[in-house]
Amino acid sequence: MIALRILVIVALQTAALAYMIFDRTSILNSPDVVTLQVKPVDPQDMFRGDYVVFGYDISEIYTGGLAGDHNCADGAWCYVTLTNQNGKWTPAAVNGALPSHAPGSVILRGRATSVWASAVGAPPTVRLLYGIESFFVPQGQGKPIEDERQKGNLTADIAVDPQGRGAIKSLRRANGEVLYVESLF
Amino acid sequence: MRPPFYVRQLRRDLEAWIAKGLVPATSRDAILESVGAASRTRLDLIFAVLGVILIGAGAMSFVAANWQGMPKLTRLILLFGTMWAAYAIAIYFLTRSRDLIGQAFVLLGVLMFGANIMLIAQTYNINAHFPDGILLWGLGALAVAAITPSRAALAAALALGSLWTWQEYQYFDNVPHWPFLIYWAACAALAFAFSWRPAVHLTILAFLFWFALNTQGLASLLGWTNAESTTIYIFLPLAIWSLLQMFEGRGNAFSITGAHYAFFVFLFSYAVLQLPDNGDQTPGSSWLIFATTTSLVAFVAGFIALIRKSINIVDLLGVAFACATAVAYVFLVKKNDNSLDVPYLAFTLIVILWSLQRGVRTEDRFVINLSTVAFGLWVLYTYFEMFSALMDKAVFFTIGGILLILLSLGLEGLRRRLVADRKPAALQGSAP
Repeated sequence: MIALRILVIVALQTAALAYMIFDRTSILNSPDVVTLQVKPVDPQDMFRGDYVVFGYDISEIYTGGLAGDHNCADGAWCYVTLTNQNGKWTPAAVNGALPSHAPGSVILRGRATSVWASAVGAPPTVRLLYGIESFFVPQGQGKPIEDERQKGNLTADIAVDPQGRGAIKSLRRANGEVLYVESLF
Repeated sequence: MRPPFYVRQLRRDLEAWIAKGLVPATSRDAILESVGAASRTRLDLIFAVLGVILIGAGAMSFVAANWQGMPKLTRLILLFGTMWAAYAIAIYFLTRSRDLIGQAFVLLGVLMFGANIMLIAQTYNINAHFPDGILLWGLGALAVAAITPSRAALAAALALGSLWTWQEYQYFDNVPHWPFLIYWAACAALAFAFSWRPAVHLTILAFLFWFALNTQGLASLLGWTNAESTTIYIFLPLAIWSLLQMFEGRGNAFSITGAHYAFFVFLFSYAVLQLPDNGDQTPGSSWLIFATTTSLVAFVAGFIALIRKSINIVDLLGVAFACATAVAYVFLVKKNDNSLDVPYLAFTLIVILWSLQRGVRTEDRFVINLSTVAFGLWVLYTYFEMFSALMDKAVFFTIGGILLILLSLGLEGLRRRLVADRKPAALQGSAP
């Protein structure tokens, strides 16, 4: 009886861990991939152990001139529709709920960490975290990635699933040279 | 389950009765089992738990040291394999009635589950809401505690739940963090089912931890003043204490231990009530509703407890006095006004004396000790508050030192006399 009980626990815990892996690999396998320019960040905070910290142009979005309801509350999910403009993925709409997918666009979900406007009724500016702001890299590979990032010469390929969740699939130099690829297994 | 002091006394008495031939030695374990005290904390259990922690640390160190050289698949096999191995060894020992070492490996399995969550999140760069990882770990521990069942896993689940709610509070301003109460209720139900005293303490401490983290935040959200916020720690514990007195006759671990904790929080909070003020605000309606409701609960529950003879009329008057004076303080206190200091110092003394007489009457050592310490602190605080501005500093500190020494000698003597020959509350069927 005790053996059966522990086997139930093993099954439950294994299932939970396996789900974590499956969920992540399903995002990485998504056919929707956007390439984002990685921005330099404050060198004081940028490298913690083997984590590299990234910032993006879309980390802070001024909603003026963009489509969507702009209904992003502080701390809530916000959906940014990205379209490819001459090879650069840029925001086209900002919504407080998942909008329908338009052809040629990709919707990325982020959590609004602050929302502010210059005046009452003015379009707000939203600061967002997409869950792609830090990246664990193998020992020794952090420094070259960090150097490229500081030179503004780094891009990240982000796989995006239908719910808008993003995951870093690979890191490349601006000339397309691959620095790191996230393998599934 | 009985309180530890009762069990200790019973063990001593049993040995004496066995020596005199009043009780057969073969009945020792059955008698101890009947009060939930057959098992004792044993050195081999402590060594086993420390051993599995070392094994867990060793396994993780090995993985960390060789992490970079491993393909992801190898890492995953190692991570899952270590967890499965821990549970397999647990099954091996538990099916051979080696419960202590078996439980230690169950705990190792719980630890490995948590380590796996963190390492898989790192391997796959999962930048999720990170308290969720701790929650998942805690739920895993809770499942182990319920299904196996395992006391050590329950303790781990309570610790992890506290860490989870702290992270939500500290990093995400998630106040009040209501989901913790659901998690906590599940832990409390298991602790109650296990009748395991350390888990009862941990459960209550986890609740107090959440209470301390969230009540000030909740009060801020409601726009309550500092004085109004402080009374949360007076009214709620007093209401809980009164409610527990209603069920005191059943003598379960939660009612005895919970009443002790509730009274401790109440007494401490009442003593510091005179420190905060309302600023420029007047008492709000939401606070008034809260104060009235909790006071009524405390009084009505106390009245029922009085009818059931769990408390006496002095206790009921004590409850009414504490509630009335706490409400009055919030209405009367003004910004930078010290006129209430002296009356409320006197009121605090009344509450301490009520507590002391209750401890003596119910022969409850915890309450006697608590009241004695509270009285000593009250004397010192009163001395510092009243005389610090009136005396020369040298004289002030000298007299203060002498007072401290006299208090330490006098109060310890008083406490010993009060607790001497007192039987534990649970033996008397009286309130804790």
